Amino acid sequence: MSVLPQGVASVRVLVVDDNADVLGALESRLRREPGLHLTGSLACADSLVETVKRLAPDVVLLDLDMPGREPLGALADLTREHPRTRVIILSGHVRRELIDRSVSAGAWGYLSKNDDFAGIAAAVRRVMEGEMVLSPEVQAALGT
Amino acid sequence: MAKLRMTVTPATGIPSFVAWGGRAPEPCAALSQLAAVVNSCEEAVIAVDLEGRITAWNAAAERVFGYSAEETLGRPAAMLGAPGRMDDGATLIERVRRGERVERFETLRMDKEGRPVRVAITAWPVVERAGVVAGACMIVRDLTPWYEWERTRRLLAAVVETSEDAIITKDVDGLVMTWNAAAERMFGYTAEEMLGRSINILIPEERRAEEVEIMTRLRAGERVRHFETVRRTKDGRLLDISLTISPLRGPDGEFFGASKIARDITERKRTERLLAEHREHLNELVERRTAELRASEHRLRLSERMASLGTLAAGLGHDMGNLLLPVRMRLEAIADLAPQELRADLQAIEQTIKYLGQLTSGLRLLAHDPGGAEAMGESTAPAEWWSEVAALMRSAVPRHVALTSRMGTGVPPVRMSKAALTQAVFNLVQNAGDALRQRSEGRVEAWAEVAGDADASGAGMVRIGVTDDGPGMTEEVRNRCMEPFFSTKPRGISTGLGLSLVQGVVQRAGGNVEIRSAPGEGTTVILIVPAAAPAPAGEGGNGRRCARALVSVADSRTRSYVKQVLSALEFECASDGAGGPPGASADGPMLWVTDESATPASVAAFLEGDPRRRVVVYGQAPGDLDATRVVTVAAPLQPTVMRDQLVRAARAVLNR
Repeated sequence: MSVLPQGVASVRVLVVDDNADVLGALESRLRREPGLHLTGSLACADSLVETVKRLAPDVVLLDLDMPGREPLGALADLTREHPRTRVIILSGHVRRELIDRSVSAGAWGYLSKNDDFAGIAAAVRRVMEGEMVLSPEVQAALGT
Repeated sequence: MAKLRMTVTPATGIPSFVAWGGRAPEPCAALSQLAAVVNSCEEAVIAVDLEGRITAWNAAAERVFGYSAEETLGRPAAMLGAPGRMDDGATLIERVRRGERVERFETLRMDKEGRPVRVAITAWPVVERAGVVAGACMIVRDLTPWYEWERTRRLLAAVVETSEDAIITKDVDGLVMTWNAAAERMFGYTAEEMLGRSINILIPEERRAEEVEIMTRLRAGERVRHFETVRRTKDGRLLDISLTISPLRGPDGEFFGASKIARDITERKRTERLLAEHREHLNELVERRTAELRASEHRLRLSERMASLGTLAAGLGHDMGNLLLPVRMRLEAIADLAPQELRADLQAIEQTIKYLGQLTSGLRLLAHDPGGAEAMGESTAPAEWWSEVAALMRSAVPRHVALTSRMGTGVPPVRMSKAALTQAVFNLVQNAGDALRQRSEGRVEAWAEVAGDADASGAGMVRIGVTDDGPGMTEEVRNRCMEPFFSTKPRGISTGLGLSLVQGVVQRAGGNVEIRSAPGEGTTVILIVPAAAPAPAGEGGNGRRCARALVSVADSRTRSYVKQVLSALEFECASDGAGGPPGASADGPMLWVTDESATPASVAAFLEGDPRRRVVVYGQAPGDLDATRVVTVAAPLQPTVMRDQLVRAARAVLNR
């Protein structure tokens, strides 16, 4: 079940991370990844809801450990106001409590910064197909 | 033969006898001497005529009654009569008149002050010529001192007889002179059995010397108070007694024996012993509680340290992740474009990055709460786990130490969270590394093997050990190394995470820690932990037993979340987007996760197939359902609630 908008060839991705190196690397890879399109990037979650409204990305890759607005609060607002935009958490913290709070706030996926780009790209595609994606390290942390 | 007549000089009251033989009486010197004897006699001597008038009154009579001879001579003896006993005098005279001698006639008289005087009177007739009784002569004994003495005697006797303590007197040779009722009760011998017998019969052989010493002290005039000793009863029992012994001395001060007061203190001794035992028990309790308190304080400190270590590890893990992600991604991009001759270099960099990535994951495991996941029944497969944490473990030993692993392929998963196992083994590897720090080379091996028989739940135990070829521990160190605060490392080197923490983590998982070490023989620390119980349901593809589940939830996000949780719970998942009833065949799904599209009829039909079957409904429940086997989880998705309900349902289905 694909929810790709008619006539749009690639998935539009917004990246949010306070680390310039991470942001730079993700931007660099997304630009070259077929089927994915980088629509923009943010260094904090302060203006996340407005930016999503303006850029209308399909997927947001969201870091959790950033200065400024609490990313999970921004995620909850986003879920409520723009439910079509699907958020994947990309974090260096892989803890059950954070994963649970993210899923509660409406996240469609939770990836570790240990995952390689191929895994991230695949997750973006699977989320667009309607699947929630928890990377193996994240599933392990859930401890079920 | 001349007859005698006693006359009394009225002025002095002094009697005198005259010989009378029909002639005028003549004073008789010998008789007058006799009269002087009578007058100085210790007993009162009184004479009366038949009319009852007093005709003789000696000095002793004056002392007894207070009247002088002048006051009494010629007056009626009735003046001495006491109320109620007035007739006694007349009765006595009447008997004497008949010629009778009266012995010890006891009666009451009254003295000059009006006080009653108890007396015993011996009276006999005074016979004049031709056998005619002219009067009576009386010896009047004052009984007052005797009565007083007798009263005192009876009082003392009563005290002795009614005493709860045994009161015994013995002579200088130790022969019993008196033996009261309490002594009978206490020692079992009657007075008849004991009187005249040696007191030694009561004294146990080994205490005979006591008696000699006591007698010596008594002779010296000493008194022995509260001397605690042991005596033997007639039936052979030993009694704890307390003795108070006083010397007995005659009126002349002569030592003639001893009085002993013995108190049975067996009960008191027993109480004392009980008290002492209680006190000891109390002390033990206090010590134990103090130790427990110390241990919990130690655990608190450890958990504080763990928390700060966790924070450090979490922060490091995060930063490492941030650092590695761009390096890895850019490297991946370069690798596609790089010329052939650079491939080997790039692969080497990739390996390093992979290693750093593993180290980062390991650091995150160190940051986890080791107890958190156990409640969910998490299990960890040793071989897979080691491949994840090997890099972290490598970082815990010095460079010159070789770290190897031997994780047997047949070793089942253990009932312990990955974080708990990581933290426990990390500490062991760290300790092993520290033990080898001063050496030029060394070897540390981490290993896992199946141990012993299956436990009550059907699962066996797994031994996970860390062995080093370091200097080993002395017996003292080995015995104490699990104690809180115990460390052989200098302050600063010791992280303080210690074996007691390892033991705590392992014991919470239902396991135990064993240490094998001797000087020069290295050290092996073994965690003996329960293996995860095998799943009782159908056989899964990976050789593990598992059950099937059907997930028919329209919301794809929730559906995929549920499927991932169920897979982790070893369910084989099928899913369809619609809420159609699952097949009710015997090998069909045991757990059905559905949503509002399910009907009470379809749920009932599913449950009918097998009593273990369970249903989880996401969203609004469609009508009345069997609350014991159907649970409703409200939308939107709350992962903790959903996971909790899925775990419960899984337990019911898998019969765990």
